[in-house]
Order: sequence, then C-alpha cells, then structure tokens
Amino acid sequence: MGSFKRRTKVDTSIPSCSLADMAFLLLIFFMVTTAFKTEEGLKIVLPQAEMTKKIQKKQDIQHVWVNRAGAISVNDLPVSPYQMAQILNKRLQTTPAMVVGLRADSNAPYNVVNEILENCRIAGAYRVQFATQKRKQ
Amino acid sequence: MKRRTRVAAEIPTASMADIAFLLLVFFLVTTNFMEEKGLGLILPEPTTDPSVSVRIPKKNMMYFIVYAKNRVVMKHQDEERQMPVSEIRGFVRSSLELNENLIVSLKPAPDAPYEAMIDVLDELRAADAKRISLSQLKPTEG
Repeated sequence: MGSFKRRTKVDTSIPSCSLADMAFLLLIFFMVTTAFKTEEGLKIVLPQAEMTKKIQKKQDIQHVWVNRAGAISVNDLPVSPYQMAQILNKRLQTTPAMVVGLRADSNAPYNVVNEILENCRIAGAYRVQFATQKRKQ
Repeated sequence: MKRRTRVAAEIPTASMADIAFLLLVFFLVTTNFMEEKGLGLILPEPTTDPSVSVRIPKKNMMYFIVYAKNRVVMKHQDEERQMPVSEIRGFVRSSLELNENLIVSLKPAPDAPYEAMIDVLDELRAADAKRISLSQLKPTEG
C-alpha cells in the first residue's frame, strides 16, 4: 500500500518582490509621457457655452490669449494684433492644419476679438476656435 | 564582555510596491490636462476684389446686434425688436424652417463683452444655423 509516490509540493505564491519595480516603471512611464502645458497664458475667465465641443488634434492648436483689459498674448509674449498675425503666419508654414485657439476672457471687449479675427484672416489662419467651458444645465 | 545581539540590518521591501502604487495614483489624480474645448468657426478668406461681393436679398438676412449681455436686438426685414437670449434658439430654428437660405449675421458692438457674443453664437449653433456671419457693428449701423 505504501507504493504511492508522494507528490512534490508546488509553491503557489505569486512572486511579489518585483511588484515594486513594476509600479515604479509605470510611474516613470507616466511621468515621462505626460505633456505639461508649456505656456502660462493670461489670467482669464472663459465664457460658458452649451454647444462646447472637444477638439481632437491638440498639437495643432495655437493659443491666443486675451485678458479682461484686452491685452493679447501669444506664446507668453505680449503682442499687438499685427505681431500676432506674423506669428500665426510663421506657424502656418510648418503646421498647415493649425487651429487658432482663442482663449479670451468673458469680459474682454469685442473690438479686440474682432481685430484678432481680422488679423487671423490676413495671416491665412481661417480655422478658429473660441475656447469655452461647457455650460451645465 | 557581553556578547552583543546581532540586529538584522534590512530594509523591509514588502511595502515598497504599495508606496510606488500610492505615488502612481497620486500623480494620476493630480495631473490636470489642458482642456481643448470650445466653439469652432471657419473664417472667410479676405477678398480684395470688390466685384466678388454678392448681393443677398434682404429677406435672406437676419441680424442680431449684440450691445451687452442680454441686450440683443434682432433685425429681419422691417422687424426690429429686442430679444432675450433664451428666445433666440427657437426663433432662429423656426425662421430656418420657413426660409432655408437664411443667413444669420451676428454683429456685436465694439464695446460689447466677448461673453455676450459667445452667448448668441451658442444659441445659433444650438438652432443648427449653418450660415453664420460674424462682423463688428459699424458706427453708422448702431
């Protein structure tokens, strides 16, 4: 009766010593791939709109900031509408699919916005997006 | 001489994974992405040739003159009246059903706040108006 072989015991634990390495690897991966916003911009309060839509291609956006007082900033440089047109035109040469992301304060006077739009047309940047926040019902 | 007891000089590594995951979750939660949301618009190309300009029948034009937030005047043919922003959507939608060639022209005053223009543009978008023109109110039109 004692002819049965004893089964060898198999260790059934999951090796946990490499778990920390995996977690750190993930951590480093996310840290490296996260693209932080590169510009400071101006201090603004965006207007709200119900029909707010998401834009797909983030890398093609060129921000134009307008604050409450009507000051314009592009790439963290205070600019005049004419200078803005030149910057936009230069960027259009490298990225033809550029979209102007107009981030203007809700109380910015419209004549500044109008001047920006006119200069966008002159620069050949026809695609504009008015940055808004989604209005909650 | 007393014999010193040996103390094991090891760093406990069992909780290392927990610490790393905690950091991972912390960074995942605190990272705020820049949101790219808004109302898109395609501007018309600038025309230098005045002969290109097209004559549009008066009945196909509807104007919304924005003076300030919640102070919008609607002009269509001989009709001219102030309109609350909340009514614009229904009005434009029913007008578009009657006349599908209607062009809605949005004219904000130079001193109007940007937000007031966005409010009306939002309503026009909600009303499915495809042909929208956006130009600043000229001093002679006020």
